[in-house]
Amino acid sequence: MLREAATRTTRLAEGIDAVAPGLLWMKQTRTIVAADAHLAYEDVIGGALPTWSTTDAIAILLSAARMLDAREFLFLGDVIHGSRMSEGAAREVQAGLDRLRAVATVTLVAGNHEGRSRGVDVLGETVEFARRDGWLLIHGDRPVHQGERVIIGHLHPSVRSSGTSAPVFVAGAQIIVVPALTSYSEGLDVCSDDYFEALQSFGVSSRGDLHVVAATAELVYPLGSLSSLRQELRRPSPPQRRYRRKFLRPDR
Amino acid sequence: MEPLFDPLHPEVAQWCRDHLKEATEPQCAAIPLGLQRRNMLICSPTGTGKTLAAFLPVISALARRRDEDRLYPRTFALYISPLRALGYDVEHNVRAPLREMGLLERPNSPRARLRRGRIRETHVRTGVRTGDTPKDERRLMLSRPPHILMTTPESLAVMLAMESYRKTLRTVETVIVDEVHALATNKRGAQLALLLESLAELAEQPFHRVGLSATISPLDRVAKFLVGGDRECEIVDARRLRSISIDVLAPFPNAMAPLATVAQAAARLSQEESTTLVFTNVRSQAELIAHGMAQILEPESIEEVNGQPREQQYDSRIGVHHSALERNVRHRVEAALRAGKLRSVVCSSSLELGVDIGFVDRALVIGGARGITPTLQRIGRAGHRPGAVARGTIIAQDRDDIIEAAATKRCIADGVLEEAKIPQAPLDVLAQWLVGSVCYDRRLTIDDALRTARRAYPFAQLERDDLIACAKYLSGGGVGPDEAHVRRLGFDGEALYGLGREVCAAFFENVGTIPDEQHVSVTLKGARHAIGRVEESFLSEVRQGDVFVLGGRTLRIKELTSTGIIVEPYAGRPTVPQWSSHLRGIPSALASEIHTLRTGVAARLKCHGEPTLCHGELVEPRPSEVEGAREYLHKRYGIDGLEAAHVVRYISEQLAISEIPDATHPVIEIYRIDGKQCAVFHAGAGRRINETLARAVATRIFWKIRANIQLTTDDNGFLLTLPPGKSMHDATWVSLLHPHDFERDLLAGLRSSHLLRNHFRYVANTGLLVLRRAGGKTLRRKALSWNAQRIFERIFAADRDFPLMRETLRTVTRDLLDAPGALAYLESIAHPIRLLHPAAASPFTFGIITSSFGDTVVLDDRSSMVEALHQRVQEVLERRAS
Repeated sequence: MLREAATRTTRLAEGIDAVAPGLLWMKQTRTIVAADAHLAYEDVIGGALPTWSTTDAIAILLSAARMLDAREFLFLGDVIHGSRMSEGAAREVQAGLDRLRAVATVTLVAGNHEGRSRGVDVLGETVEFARRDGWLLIHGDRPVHQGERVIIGHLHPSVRSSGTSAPVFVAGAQIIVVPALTSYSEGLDVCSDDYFEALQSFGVSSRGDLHVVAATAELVYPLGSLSSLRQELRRPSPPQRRYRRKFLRPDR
Repeated sequence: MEPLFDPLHPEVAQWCRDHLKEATEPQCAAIPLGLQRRNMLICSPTGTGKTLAAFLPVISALARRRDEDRLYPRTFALYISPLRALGYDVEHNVRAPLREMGLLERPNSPRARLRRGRIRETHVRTGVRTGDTPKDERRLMLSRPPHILMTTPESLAVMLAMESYRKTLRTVETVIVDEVHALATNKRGAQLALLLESLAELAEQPFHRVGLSATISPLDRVAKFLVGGDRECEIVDARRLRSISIDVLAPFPNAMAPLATVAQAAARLSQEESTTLVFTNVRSQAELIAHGMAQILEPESIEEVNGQPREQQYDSRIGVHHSALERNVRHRVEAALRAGKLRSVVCSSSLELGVDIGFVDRALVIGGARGITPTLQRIGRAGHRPGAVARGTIIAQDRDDIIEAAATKRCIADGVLEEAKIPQAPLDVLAQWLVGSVCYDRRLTIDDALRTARRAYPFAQLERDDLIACAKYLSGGGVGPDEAHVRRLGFDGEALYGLGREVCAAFFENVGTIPDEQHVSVTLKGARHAIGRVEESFLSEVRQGDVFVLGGRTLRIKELTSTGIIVEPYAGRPTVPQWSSHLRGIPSALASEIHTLRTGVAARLKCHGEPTLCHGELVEPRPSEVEGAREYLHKRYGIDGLEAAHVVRYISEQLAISEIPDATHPVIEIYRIDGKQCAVFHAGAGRRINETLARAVATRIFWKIRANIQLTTDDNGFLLTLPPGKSMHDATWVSLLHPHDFERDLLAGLRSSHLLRNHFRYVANTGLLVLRRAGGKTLRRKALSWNAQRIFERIFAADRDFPLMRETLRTVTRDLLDAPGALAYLESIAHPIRLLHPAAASPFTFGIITSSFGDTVVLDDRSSMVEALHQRVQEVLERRAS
């Protein structure tokens, strides 16, 4: 097998690319999909902090739109971290979305963080789902009819190694999971059993059917199938425990 | 004796003559000072009557007020303690003499009802205002303020922010601060110092301050902390008043004792007494020791039935007490201990402070208390009665513990104490105080704020710029050039002002400086209420079906949820040895005496040349040398018999295999285990300095080999483990211990550490940057779990001078670690540094290897992790393809 080099974008499915730092690009409709932006995170958690989550996300999306010549921004749920935020933070979110609207159409799919009000006070109109290029785009917090090809967010896929984590895309024939755009999420480990259990509710039956692409600020890295990645990262037991016993044995 | 009481109010003096057989030394010194309304710090062991000495002049003054018809419904005396429970205890203990003197107002008595609403009163009221005080009691307290009010620093902060309480506090004449030693050395003390200055601004006349403390040093510094500014303070030093007797027991034949043996020894000793208090250093160890003792003393209560779960009997006479247990469980244990219903209570440091626990015959300290002051406090809990001897036994778990216990005994005999370190100008505490000072809509100029804050001892050196930086951040100044939308107060460049009730709610809900550790609850299956808590990190270490011990019960994990652990009772062996907890380190004063002991013994064993190994067996030193060493141990440390033999053999073995480090001559030992090179640095400068050195050295290694290093620290040194396939030359190892650019290397190592991240969380909470609680009951649990690491990184990137960022670095490098101490150590060590490749693990390394603390210095960023991972995946793919 040939080496797959890290690039700025990589193909996940027919007409769909993964783009650094964690956006989905649907070529046919020229749509940029961003999941779990959690805008105004700092404000919603009650922090007396600048709302970098909003300014950073908007800057990333505008830069991607310039690069790809996008016609639409599609937020895949959890656009905001919560609907209880200060007036200033809400104004900033609205201004950010307006800046995106000046470049392309903005579609907001509601997620669980928008709450029952669907964040209407801050976001205005939201939708429960969208369809683009033959895919159903939903947030992913509720099960869907199986048999349909879905693109979801919500699950914050990530890979963990060396004490740190990085967002990843998980893609199969019937499902694509988009990583969280927010930099505040550690993400959920795609190699864990819990994660696979969550994917099973979307009709996934084997880890071998899914492939993983990691994203950093600049590049995306194909990491092969989920099953082989899991095998590679699995370790039998914490090395320190074995090591302590062995080290102390001579004296006992 | 009588002239001492004569100046008191006649009724109070008569009570003293009737009830006090003999005035204690602190009482003799403190009562006249109290009557003269002089500031004073009374430092004496527990059980020497210092609380009464502080209260008698207060009661006398209140009685005189009553006689003069000046007993207004206002608070005249404030008693502040670090523990809520202590406030209730002391109130109980003050009410008894008041009742006997006929001064106490009984709540809702016909007399009290008749007096209600009248301006002048005839009886003294007491009250406790803590976070636990019910709302209706708080309301009642406002309409009929207690003349003597017991509170905590946090509740005082709340009261000083509320206009309704401020009215009643204006008349305060006396402030008694109990357990000063437990406050002075941390941020709660810094908060209290600021609050007392706020109270001084508020008070109609200067109040006098009385500090009560068990053993602490240096007293003049603590006295300055208590009174603040340039006020004078008398010191009543009765530290050496109580006789203390310490034995050391080493219940093991070889190198160390399994926990079961320690529990056996504790059980045997407790059988000789009617009540014992058993102290452990780690909460989980308290659980296991109690479990082990119960197996011996009450085998019927934990009988195993074919390995099947069975409901345990809980009417055991062995109690467990630690801060991870639910409050009601702890209160039950305290009450049972007071009532003499328990034979033993196994606790962590939770019973170190002065909560009333009745009379305890003997204190057992498992493994040593890791310090001179904690040893005195723990053993001082026994024989808590004037004239009684405090008897304690240190049960060593390994040979290091014997040496530590011996050194502790010597330090106590010499009167050597650890120096109390008072945090210097913690900016998070300052930020919180500023917000409280302007609630709801008060105004405070920067000049006034600076003047008041500087009078508080921890803030004496506060810079005006730091105060303004805090004010700017709180008023929405944000971080660096970016502004925040959330504001905690207003600031117009000259003065700070409150932004009303809604904004101040953040202050009231988040007041305090106690770190809000992330805990998860442990609930019995089917039960509604939790039985205890464990640290959140414990969740990642256990699986369903694991068995652990909590609150003396063996429990099997039935289910792990995001909010907690569902368990069922289980009779069987625990599979998880311990859950993480705080471990206290040896301070440098004690570390220095440990060096003296080791080098003293080693010098006597080396009279005729070094002890050696022959075919892997130790060639014993000559009998005359052994005798010399044992005599030294007996004379200087009072250590004999088996314990002395252990120490002599331990140091002989170390001499045979390696060398003995001392205060200026560290020893580096290099090993290769499981294909990994590792180095043990025997520095022995105390745990804080060792940990500081370890982190800086690990960073230097990272820069040399570009790989993450695992580090483990303990009291005697630190261990650094390189990843497989990496190694360094001897010269490189030796070159790591130098003072050049030390702070830079330390900060680089700390930047991504759990230590810094966790403390940033605490600092951000205290400094009201991110709230622990917001919007009352409306905040969901999920919103609480904010990403401290990412916010820390973002702030670090945006503005390294952000006040709370600087405060986090200060807390970690000055309060938790000891960067100046470590730098001084590096400057003092003698070169060339000794480096050895021992043939077998040297005995001094065992403690480090078995130490429970471990962290990895991770300097790799996300990109390099993904890069490495990508590389690995590609290699696997290529292997398969070929």
